[in-house]
Amino acid sequence: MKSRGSLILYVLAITFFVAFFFYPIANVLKEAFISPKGGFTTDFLLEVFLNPIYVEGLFNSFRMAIFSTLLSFAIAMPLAWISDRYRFPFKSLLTSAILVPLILPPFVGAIGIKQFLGPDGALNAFLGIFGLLNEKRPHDWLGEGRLLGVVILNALHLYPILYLNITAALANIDPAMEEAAENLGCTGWRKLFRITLPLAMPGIFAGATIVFVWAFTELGVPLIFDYPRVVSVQIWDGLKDLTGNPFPYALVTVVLAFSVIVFALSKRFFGRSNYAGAGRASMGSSLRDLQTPWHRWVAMGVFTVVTAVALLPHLGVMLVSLSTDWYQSVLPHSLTMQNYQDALGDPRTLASISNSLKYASLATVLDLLLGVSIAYIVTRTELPGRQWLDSFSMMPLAVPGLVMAFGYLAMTREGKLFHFLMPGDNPMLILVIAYSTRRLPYIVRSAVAGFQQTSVTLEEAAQNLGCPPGRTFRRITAPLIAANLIAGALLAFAFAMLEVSDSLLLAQKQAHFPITTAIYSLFGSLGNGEGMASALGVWSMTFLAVTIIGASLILGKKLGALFRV
Amino acid sequence: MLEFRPRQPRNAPPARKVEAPKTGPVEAEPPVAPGIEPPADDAPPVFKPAVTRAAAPVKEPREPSRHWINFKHWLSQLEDPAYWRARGKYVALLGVLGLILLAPYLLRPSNRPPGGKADGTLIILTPHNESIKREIGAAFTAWYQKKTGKVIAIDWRTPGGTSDIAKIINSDYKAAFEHYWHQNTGKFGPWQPGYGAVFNDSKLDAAAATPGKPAAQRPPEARVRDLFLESNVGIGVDLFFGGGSPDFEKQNKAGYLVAKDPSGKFGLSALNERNPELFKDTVIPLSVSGEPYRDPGFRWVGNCLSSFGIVYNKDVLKRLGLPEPKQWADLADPRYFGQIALADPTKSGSVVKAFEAIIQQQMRLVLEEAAEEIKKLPEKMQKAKEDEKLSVGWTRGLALIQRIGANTRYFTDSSTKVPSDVASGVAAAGMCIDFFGRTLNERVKDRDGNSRVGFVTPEGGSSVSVDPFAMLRGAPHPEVADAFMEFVLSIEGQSVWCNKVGAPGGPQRHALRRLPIRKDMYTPDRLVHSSDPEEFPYQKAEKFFYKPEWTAGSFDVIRIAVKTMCIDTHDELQAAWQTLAEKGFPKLATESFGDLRQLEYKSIRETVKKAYDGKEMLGLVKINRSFGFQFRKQYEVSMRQANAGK
Repeated sequence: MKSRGSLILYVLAITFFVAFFFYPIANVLKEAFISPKGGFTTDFLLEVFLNPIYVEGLFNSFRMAIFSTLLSFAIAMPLAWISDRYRFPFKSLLTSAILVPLILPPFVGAIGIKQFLGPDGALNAFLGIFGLLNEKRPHDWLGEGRLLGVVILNALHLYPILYLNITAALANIDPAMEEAAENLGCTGWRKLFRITLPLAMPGIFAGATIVFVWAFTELGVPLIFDYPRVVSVQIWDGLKDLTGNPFPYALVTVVLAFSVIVFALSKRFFGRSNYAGAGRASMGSSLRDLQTPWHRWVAMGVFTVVTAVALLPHLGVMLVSLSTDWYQSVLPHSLTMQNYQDALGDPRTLASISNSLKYASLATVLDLLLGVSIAYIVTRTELPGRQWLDSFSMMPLAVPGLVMAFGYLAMTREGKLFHFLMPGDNPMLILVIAYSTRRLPYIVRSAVAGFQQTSVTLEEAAQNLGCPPGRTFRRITAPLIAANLIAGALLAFAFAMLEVSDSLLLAQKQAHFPITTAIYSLFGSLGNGEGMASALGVWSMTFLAVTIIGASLILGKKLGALFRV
Repeated sequence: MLEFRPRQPRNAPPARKVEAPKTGPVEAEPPVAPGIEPPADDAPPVFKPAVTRAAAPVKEPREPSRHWINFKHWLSQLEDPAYWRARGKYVALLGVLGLILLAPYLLRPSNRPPGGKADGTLIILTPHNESIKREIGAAFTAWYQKKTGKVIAIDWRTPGGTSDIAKIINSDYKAAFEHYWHQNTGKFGPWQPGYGAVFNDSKLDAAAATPGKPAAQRPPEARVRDLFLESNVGIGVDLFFGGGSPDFEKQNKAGYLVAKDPSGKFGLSALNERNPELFKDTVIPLSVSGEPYRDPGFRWVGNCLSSFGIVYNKDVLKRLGLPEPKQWADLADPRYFGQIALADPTKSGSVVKAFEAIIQQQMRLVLEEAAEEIKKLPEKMQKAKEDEKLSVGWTRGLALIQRIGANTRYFTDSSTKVPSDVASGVAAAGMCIDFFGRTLNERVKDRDGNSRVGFVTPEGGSSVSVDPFAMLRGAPHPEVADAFMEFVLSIEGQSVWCNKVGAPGGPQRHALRRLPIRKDMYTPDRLVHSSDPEEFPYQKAEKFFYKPEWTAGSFDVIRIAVKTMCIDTHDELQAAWQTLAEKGFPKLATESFGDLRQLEYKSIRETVKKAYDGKEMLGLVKINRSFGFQFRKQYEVSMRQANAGK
């Protein structure tokens, strides 16, 4: 019984991956290998390495990814360490708020940053108050910043992923190890570098890999800083080029190969040392109270400052949405609700909210079904190839969103095999599939972590007492992993609401726009476009911030298990 | 509170088996809606865990198993305050989420148009923005009510931009025509799948137009085409309003636009019969400087004008010590370094056309300089000399683009990014469509009516084209559609486009800042009320004459030139340009910088054409690489030379 049921799930999951992950990617990649005359060619691929502009683009992306990861680590490590070791006032709220920067609505985020960093923006106006500004030549933070700016912004956006991983890893370190070290005279920094960090390494690297690949394929931030010579911008430019050149697909192939190699290496070296279910030999809390008020203030201050700085773009969006013109001043001159009124009066706004909720919640349901099935197969069965299934389910993280979106678009064109998924240009089905494929890793990770932390003996006991497998899952396993699933589902939902590439390419008619497409389209309206787009952006930020803080309050440190390879 | 604790109820079996023994009071309770905490005091103390637990085990395996969720059990759980205390986090979270979700629906403005009261409707497909729809719509309904006493409700449909609308019109007509055919199968014969690609094919019209050719000799597809053109098949839309003349020409060729309805009483040709003065060269000319302004067959007509130009921020210019720009060439000043926002010609047809206008302007200037010289030559040699001069002009145009490109901050594919970045001071100047620039000027006006954003259409450097409208075949309300077009082309309607808010005939809330098409709007007494009284687009249009043969088929060439010369090599270009400017443009270095031999007028066009005709994408890739490589090299060389002071 059990094995047949799992076998069906196994086959279904594999079919899903073949149809909605490998097939669309293959559709895109084959463009890079077909010569205009129809034969096979590697000339396009070769071109990537022959043209110095693209080599430089790859190199710059690589630098961008490395530095962004290092800076994220520099931000996340102290935070994680404080949170792991000490109690301080408002801790649960502060440690939740630290995650909010992860959700920045697309397009409007750029407005927020521009308002702060432009030559006539808030930062220069602020410096001007203290006489630190050369009126003739104000700082052009955006134009001069380039790589540095991109790295800082990337890090401020992505550090929550590392933070979650490091806290989860630190929490799993056996305090006995550190105590032993201290007994032997290894204390302070030496203990940190010789004992604590090496023990936390697998978790750190797992998170770092995700941050690295995310930064490597990041498109929005380099575009804000007008930094075109990175590979993601080159792909974006090439795909939108009207000359119909298939060359960008070759670039996509290289990026994809690179991302997959990074993932594979990370998994090869760090994925096996699985600490999630290992538990630790000695229990007992290692949390200490901070002794002096001064220490407590420092701890709270560090969290508050990091969150506040990372939330500056969000604040910018909020202020833009409340103003008509914000220019050469620290804060807008006057506040107004006009943008909200205009946005609510626009037919695109409400329709997109309903659409996005529909798409994202259906995608989350599909994700839950798939994710739990895959996690079950991976952790509870001996089916051959289940490790591969586990790896597959993480691969959507390595594929740039744009590539997947083009794949889906190509396979649902008229006359293609999957055209039935877009009946009458209604992209609902394909969008649900696209969203769920891209966010599946979070659910699989959370479910796998749940299964691994739950002893299989509990299920065996139930089955010994005559409980059939389905009911065992329902009455025993599901309640035990519910918290993991809820957190994973909330995150998957939040990211589905913010998904850009699929939404832009697949939702072509206004009636079907999800929120991201509506923001993009409102943004393009003449005159008050930025204000209206920001208003809708503020709404989605608020909604998702509550979701993320909720997930973190429910799950606490377990949230870290979601962002691992 | 401070750290994660596992939730209580899961480990607390007491709440589980309540409903089994205690039927009376529990079942009598009305079902409690989730999300509302039940009043704990009302309920008698029904929870007696110890007893329940002792009694239950015998029955347990049988009882709750059928359903996924045991509702009775679940409802009874809801009455336990402990259940809620333990799930307080979830409940609060769901409550907040629900509130945020509902907020936009609750706060939605309720000023829906009173749909039931109208005497008639007008359905318009348009890419225009909300202010245009609101202002033109309000002005028209008031005008129509005054004229006829009837109230009209306008159904504006904006499914996307112009290209989206074109796609929708096309697919809707296809479906409508097929439906029409199926209704008349008796007369027409059976429907063939291929007909869907034939009915809108204008190439078949040539066969139809040949006089004296018997109908039987014409291809059978032509009959399908004829049946469509004779029909009144419609898509339930009256008007297509806004876009560009090429879009309308395409729709016209397909046969979707009509000059009049079947009765012959309504439509542009009927309007022409009623008011022949309107379609004269003194009011709405047929074309200006090679740019069509209306269809000679009266199937579409322009109603306002647009052109590309320079939008600039006066504050930033003052800071940089620069005068307000008047010409494209002004943007090549090295003091603009890093301060110019350009649209990307590789990603938009209208932008590449604007770049073409820059090049054509230089070609014209060179020809004008050499006019005397050419005239002196014997007639046979004039043509060759002219070609030579055109080649010089082409290179000069590209060199200008190269220098502007060196000053450029970015090449964007978003049409609104340029004016908005200029308004916010991120860039000093940029290239954009006139009403984008003027709308931003309007938006950032201070209390005294001054604006930091300015806009200029370079004289002779941009074509002036039209935004048309047209009645669609099978329009359900031809009478109102006719009235709408009459209104927009009337002096009252044209005033809405350009007049100031509050001026007679002007808009109510927002000035639209569009230039009207009627020439007789540009008279001193009418310009008094205009937001842009200094604009005389017809004079500017006449300074620019579009010569398609000069740059025929070179859209792709221009794209490749700009891509390799400025976009792909932007870092090197900027570095070289900055060094040149610092060193005062040493001669040799400046020459290496501006060496455009590989983009020579004739050779480049032939090379690119060959690559395209042979569908040699790989060839194209190689052209891109070798040109880019060459430019990189020459920028590096130029920089070295400049540093050496050569």
